[in-house]
Amino acid sequence: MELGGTGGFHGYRKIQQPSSGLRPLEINIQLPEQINNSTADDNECTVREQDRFMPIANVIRIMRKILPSHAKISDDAKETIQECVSEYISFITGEANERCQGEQRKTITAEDVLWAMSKLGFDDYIEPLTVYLHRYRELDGGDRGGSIRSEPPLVKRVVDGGAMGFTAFAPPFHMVAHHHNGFFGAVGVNGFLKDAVPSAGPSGAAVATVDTQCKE
Amino acid sequence: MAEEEEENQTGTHQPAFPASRVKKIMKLDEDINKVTSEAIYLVSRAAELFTEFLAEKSAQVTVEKKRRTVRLDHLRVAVRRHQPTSDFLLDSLPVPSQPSDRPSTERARSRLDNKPAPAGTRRIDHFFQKES
Repeated sequence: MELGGTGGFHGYRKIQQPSSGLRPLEINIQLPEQINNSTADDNECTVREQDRFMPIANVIRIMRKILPSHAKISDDAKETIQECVSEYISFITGEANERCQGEQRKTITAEDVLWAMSKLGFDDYIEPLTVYLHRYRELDGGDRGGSIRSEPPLVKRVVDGGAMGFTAFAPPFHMVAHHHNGFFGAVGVNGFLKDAVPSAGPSGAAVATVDTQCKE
Repeated sequence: MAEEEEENQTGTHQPAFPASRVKKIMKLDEDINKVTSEAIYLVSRAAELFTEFLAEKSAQVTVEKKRRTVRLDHLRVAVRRHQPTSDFLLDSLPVPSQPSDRPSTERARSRLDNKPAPAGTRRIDHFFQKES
């Protein structure tokens, strides 16, 4: 009997159907995504929904930041956007990986990701992502952070962040889309490591050092 | 830490998506070997930007149609309007008036409505209906 539909568990793509007729009143209970139910497998790979998608709460939070406060979002729109995010991640990652493998490398780097963005038509993201990357390197040490072998960064905190001339680190999308004259001008993707930060004093030197270290 | 995210400036180094989950999704593709933490971070931030994009463009359609609820068909129009997004995403969207494969209360409910109760039983919503 089909009362359970594709299963009573929200957490799985496909569930074994209950074959017995002894559960007529079983309704579809929406379980929280965190519960790890070890239901039987089917022939497809059973990746749990929680591993295939971003937590929907995070997705909704981002949307609410953008939408007017009175706006509502239908459930299927929320879920579909949640799926779209994963599709996007896979799409970008796949392209970045192709470039990586084409250059006989095995590890996808930030540069591969930025290259993929540009190739797939998301040039608008290059600017803000480059800003994010610089912050990440300066504050968290980037890929050097946490390693025993890494030297202490030359600049622990960005003191003269103001010299960079931007006020927001995460410009909303609609702002970025219309501003191609931003801080980085016409710098190509491959140049982002070197050209993006004016070499003015210690911060410039720090970035240059980071740059060298990060080269494959 | 939370304060930064509440303000208009999105967290300077507080991404909206958990890095571990980003990494998991990236590695669903078996071809993917290793990824640097920087790459994961950028993909996470890019996904965030993309979510903002989808929200914003969908809401534009919602406003055009003079609605207050952002719906799936608004999202579809928004996706179609942006060529790079449409190229990879349009085919993945649920077909109009047909829900996607994922189980959810909405779809389960509509499935419940379609199927008759087995013999000798009553559907639970029977209890909540007025006796006609």
